[in-house]
Amino acid sequence: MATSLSPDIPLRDPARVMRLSRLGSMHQCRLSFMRVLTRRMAQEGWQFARPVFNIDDKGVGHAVYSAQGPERTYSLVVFAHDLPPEMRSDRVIATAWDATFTLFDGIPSEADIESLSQNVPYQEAGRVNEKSLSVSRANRSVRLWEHFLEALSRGEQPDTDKIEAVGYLMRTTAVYGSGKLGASDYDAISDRDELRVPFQVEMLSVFLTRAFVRDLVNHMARARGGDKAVEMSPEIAGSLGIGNSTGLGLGPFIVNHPLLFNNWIETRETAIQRVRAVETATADEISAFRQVFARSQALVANWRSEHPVQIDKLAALRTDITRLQDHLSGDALDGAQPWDALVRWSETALSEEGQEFIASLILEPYGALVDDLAPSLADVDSEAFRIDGRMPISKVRALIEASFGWALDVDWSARENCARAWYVSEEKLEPRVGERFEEPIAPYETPLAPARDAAAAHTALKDWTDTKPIAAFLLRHPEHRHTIRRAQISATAPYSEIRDNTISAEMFPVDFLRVKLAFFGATHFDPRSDRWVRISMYGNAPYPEDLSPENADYWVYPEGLS
Amino acid sequence: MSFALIEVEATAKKAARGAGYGWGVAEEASKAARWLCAAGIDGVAALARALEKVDGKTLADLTPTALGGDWRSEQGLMCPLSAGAALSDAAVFWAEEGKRIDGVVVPVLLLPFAANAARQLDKVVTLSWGSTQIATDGYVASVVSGDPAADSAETVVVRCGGEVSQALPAQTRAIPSDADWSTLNQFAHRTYAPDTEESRLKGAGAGLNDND
Repeated sequence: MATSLSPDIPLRDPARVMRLSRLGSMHQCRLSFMRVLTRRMAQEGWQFARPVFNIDDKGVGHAVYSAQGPERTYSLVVFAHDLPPEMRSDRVIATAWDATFTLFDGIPSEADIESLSQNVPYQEAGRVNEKSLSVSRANRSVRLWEHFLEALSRGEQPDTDKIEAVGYLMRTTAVYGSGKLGASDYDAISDRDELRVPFQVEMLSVFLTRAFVRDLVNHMARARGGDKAVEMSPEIAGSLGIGNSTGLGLGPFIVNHPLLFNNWIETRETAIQRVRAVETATADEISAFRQVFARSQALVANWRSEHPVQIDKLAALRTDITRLQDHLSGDALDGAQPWDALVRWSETALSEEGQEFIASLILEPYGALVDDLAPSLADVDSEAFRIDGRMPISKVRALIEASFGWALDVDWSARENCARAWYVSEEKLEPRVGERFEEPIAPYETPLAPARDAAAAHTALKDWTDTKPIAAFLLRHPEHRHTIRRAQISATAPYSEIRDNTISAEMFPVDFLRVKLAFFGATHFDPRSDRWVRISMYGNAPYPEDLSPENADYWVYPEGLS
Repeated sequence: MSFALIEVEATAKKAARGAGYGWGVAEEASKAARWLCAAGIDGVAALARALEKVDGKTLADLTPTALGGDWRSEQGLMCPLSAGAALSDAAVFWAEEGKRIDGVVVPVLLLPFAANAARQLDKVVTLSWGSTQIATDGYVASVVSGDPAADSAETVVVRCGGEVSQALPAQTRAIPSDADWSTLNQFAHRTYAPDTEESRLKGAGAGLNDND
């Protein structure tokens, strides 16, 4: 029986959703890229293998992990290294890593591997070709790695408290896709069903990386301990994720791809709208929700951070969860449109962390209702880039006001309102944020202040006749062209613009990273500063050889730990 | 060496910005270079030559002075990115009569913008200068006669009509010359902030060591 939906539930207002603090409070959901990938691979019965594992006792060598879908095979080619500690850095400016990877399109020949071995270990200093779909690297978590090796080689299992404190044995420090370092770009592969949803290449690469990391530590423990050594237990292996350490590079991405970013947000908002529109929840749906809610609490319980901002947010989230438990202990889900009622209640009772947590969670019982939205996460509309020069000035003005009305009265010359500047450093082209009035960076500023630029364009448009075509304005004012393009994109993409000042003294850059990583499906956001965050990916996920339709979906929520 | 088209796009955008264009025009330059490469024409060479020609000049002087009529610039020299952007923006206004553009630097760079117009108008658009004629339906290019690689054209005539026969084969990678690629990278380099110790330590917000 089809679920009955109310036509009266609107999408959430972009003015509310697109605030940085809310974007910086978002959580993974069933439309996150990792979960879309694991569901697809399980449904299609992908086959996984490890055709090559040529690693010595010191952990140096190479390996190949393959993933075979209905039409194509993808292979993770791994190079494992013995890295001196003084070279271990998660900055873009690092030059060596514990392990380096490429996701190869097909099955690599020995010649391919030989050629890759000359390039992949050097990352930015190397070069791949269109047979590579990604290039990535990872470093060991030194404290946990050594503990695992020590324990397993003595025949003991590692200490679960120590595992929980970190959550992973290796963290990736960059996972490059789409054309980086010569790899194939998204446009060349986006016609493949399995790669159309954003970042599926990168997510597959990390999924296979996790299996390699488990195998490597088992292998090295055996080399060290000989007959005494044991393999890590399936429970411990299952609890491990892959860490990721992410700097500012992700921030520019969501500003530089307004239509793509809109599609992520709008897809999730559409899913939330659909579930809120459910007239009545069945007993099965309520039970499924309660189970996931219970399991999600373990996820929050072992989420740790030492950053003061995240400590406060986590405390608020934990209070929110207690409130939710109280609220749900009664008949809160028995009435009409129960999920809409829950969301409305959350808006009055919970912090933004809690509101977004529940907004993601209500989707869980409704795969049949929302999973078909996944393809709309992609942006394949190349025509959106072209400016419509006929559009009258009045319409462009109205579009700017719709997204940036709040920004038009801001004093953009006041120091606190433009204290920061985003730029790219000469050194390895690392994206950075600096202090405009303290560092010589303003001439190098990248266009990551759409609100300031919109206000400037709006002022420049003031004396132009309403009916004139925007083409005439652009001929005189090419400096506003990027802003006019964004305004036109926003006409059909209501969630394309962040409704906050991205260069103010108060801006918290980690908010940009958080929202992007939440869409990836990451958990355990742990800011290490205001512009650098560590996360966990695929924690509690099945390993490739165990992936099945039964465990492909809800793995993110730990079982039996709450 | 072969490059992903998105590498061409990224480098071209920074190069145009480095040459002094606003970000919006730099975005047009990046899509234009990419479109040419995808259509089988060396867009990296075209952009590199155009940027070299306009470098150091006041860009506002190399732009059409009004949307209507024939297009000339104040200085006689016409920037193909500025004229191209206007050509794309104003497609519906010149669709019937066509457009004459004088003094165009690296005229083949107008082709991607003519292609925008072709897709918008759902018509073939043909560019002609000297003995050269190129037609596009918006997706592929066909060299009807002559050589598209010219450093400048006295007058380029843009008109709706023509035929795309024997289109150049579409490409998914670009193979620019080392020299042209290096030229774009030299322009792009102007957009990178020189490294300082303070920037290194503070700008990315992370420590330099990861041994935990």
